Amino acid sequence: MTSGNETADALNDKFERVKNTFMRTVSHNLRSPIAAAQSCLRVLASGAVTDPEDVSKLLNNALERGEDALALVDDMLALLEVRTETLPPPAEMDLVKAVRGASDYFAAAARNRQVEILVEAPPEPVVVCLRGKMFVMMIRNLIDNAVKYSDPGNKVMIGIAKTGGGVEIKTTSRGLLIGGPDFDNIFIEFWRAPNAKQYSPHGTGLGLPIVKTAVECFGGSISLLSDSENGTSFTVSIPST
Amino acid sequence: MSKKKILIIEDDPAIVDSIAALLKTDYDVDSAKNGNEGLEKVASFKPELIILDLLMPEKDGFDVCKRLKTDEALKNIPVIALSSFTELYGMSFSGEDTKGMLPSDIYLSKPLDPKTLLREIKDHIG
Repeated sequence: MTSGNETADALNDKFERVKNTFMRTVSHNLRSPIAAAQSCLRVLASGAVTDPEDVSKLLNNALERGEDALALVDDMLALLEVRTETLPPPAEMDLVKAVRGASDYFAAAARNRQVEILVEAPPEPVVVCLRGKMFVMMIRNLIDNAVKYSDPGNKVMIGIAKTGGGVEIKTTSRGLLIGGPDFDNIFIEFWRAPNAKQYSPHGTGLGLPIVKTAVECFGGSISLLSDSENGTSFTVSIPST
Repeated sequence: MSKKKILIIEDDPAIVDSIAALLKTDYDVDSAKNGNEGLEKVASFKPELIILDLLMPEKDGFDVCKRLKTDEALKNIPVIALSSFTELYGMSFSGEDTKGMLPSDIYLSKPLDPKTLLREIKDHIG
């Protein structure tokens, strides 16, 4: 047995372990919403529940948890898309227009949460050459998080600013705070902050990994600040070249 | 005759709603969304049976179960443990060989089987 073979065997073992852990995590994360939806439907099918209010509540719960499972699959496909870079090639795009479009996309969700989204951007277009669909996935995930984890009555601020070497996009929300020890965990697939469920009971834990993968693909960087005085801010820096 | 009391300790509202809807005609049902709140309600609501999710934020079902089963005043309250996991920490709780490894009285996996849940409740508290 050569040392080269041993190295290859060790790498294969590691790959198998990582693959198995990932499959176990995905299975468990998918099983929870499906099991909840199925539980509601089984109780309804048993005929034991006749109160129309209960019937309606269980049907809505089943629908909602079915949608959670679908969202998880969609996010996994999105993550796969950004990781394998199968999206359309880079092209010039106006980031101000893209950010305003993403903001409009979440207008109804923000109203439901009693949150206002404000975009602060230069009056002129900010044009950068990027994979457009990847940028939209990134900014939608950032805004989605900012809205979902805001306390009602607050504003979600989205700032776009030109910098010396490119563009900076910053989302700020007031609500869920991320503790220092969790800073390293937020970009890990399926990880959710312990207090996240209080704001949004259902989440896939894949939004920020999608954001980070997209930012890295753009050659940029992302940073996080979270404290009770300033709220929670994610700042994405994208180089212009 | 007053209804027997059942406490559901579970963080998934969809599961709580489905169990509550199933039981509310015949039992007095209350719920708690994590282990700490659950232990408080055990003291205030005084349930005759507890349905306990195993994986929850803050204090999980394992801790709650151990706490209940080591308390002289509470250890006889039947506990039905629930989990989405058919296998946990390498142990299959549904197998005969592992019976008793979890200090609950019965282990049921999700999705709920209404018939089995009702039968287990009846067997334990009538």
